[in-house]
Amino acid sequence: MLLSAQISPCLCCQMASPIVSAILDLVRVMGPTFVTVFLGALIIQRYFVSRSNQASFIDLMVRELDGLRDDSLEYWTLHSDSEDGKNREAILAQKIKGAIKCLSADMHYFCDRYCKGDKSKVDELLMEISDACTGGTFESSPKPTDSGRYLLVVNAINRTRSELFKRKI
Amino acid sequence: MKTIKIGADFSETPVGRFPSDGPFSGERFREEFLKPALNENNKVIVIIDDAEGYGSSFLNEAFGGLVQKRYFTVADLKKKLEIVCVDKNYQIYHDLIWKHINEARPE
Repeated sequence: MLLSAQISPCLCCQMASPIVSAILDLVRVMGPTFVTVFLGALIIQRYFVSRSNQASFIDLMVRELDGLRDDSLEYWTLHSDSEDGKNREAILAQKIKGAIKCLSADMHYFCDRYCKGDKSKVDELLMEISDACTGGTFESSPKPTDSGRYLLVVNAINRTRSELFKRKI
Repeated sequence: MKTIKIGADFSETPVGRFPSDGPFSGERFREEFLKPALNENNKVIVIIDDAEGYGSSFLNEAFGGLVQKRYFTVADLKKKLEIVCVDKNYQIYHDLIWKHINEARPE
């Protein structure tokens, strides 16, 4: 008598058992669907976050390229007859060298992360930019104005810009 | 074998092509450091990542000038010269040096 009282479930459990079993059935049927939808959403979210980060990084590098182009064009068309001109020339030369190094670091990081197969193309573009901006009579004293470099600089930078924009679209 | 650290042995801020452009020009580095080292040693290692940065004009005069002035051939330099950079940010200068050497034409 005592044993049977201990084994038999209480009234509350007896009432709840059909509800619990219904919930368990629902979980059993819908569980795989929920997991699939959740994992799919996670993958899609990660993909879009990655694309968004890539686009932001490209925008940053394009801004760096624009700054480098403006400084280079000013440097190569600057008349350094006066003391002020010489000082400005020295500042621009350092800015240009720093910008190229920074751009190189950013582009290599970008390449490692998003386009490992295109490293040699990125290297070529960077070398073209460096040669266009800091080649020839760069840092020579006295530096002649070299307006012919305008096209070299603009072309090298535009090639890199369009290569980056291709990755963004 | 000889090792040249550009930043420590020459200048942290190498500038320009000719000595008239400044005391740490490409020509001076070539004539006073690179050429003697390459003449006296079978192997010369140049460490480039302890300087702040380089202009293409400096690199062209210092390294491309070795071929332009007929001091060495490209094949000689490939055997004897090693450009080292540990910092990945300096890889562009490593590539530029070899580009200038490969594209240099003897005068």
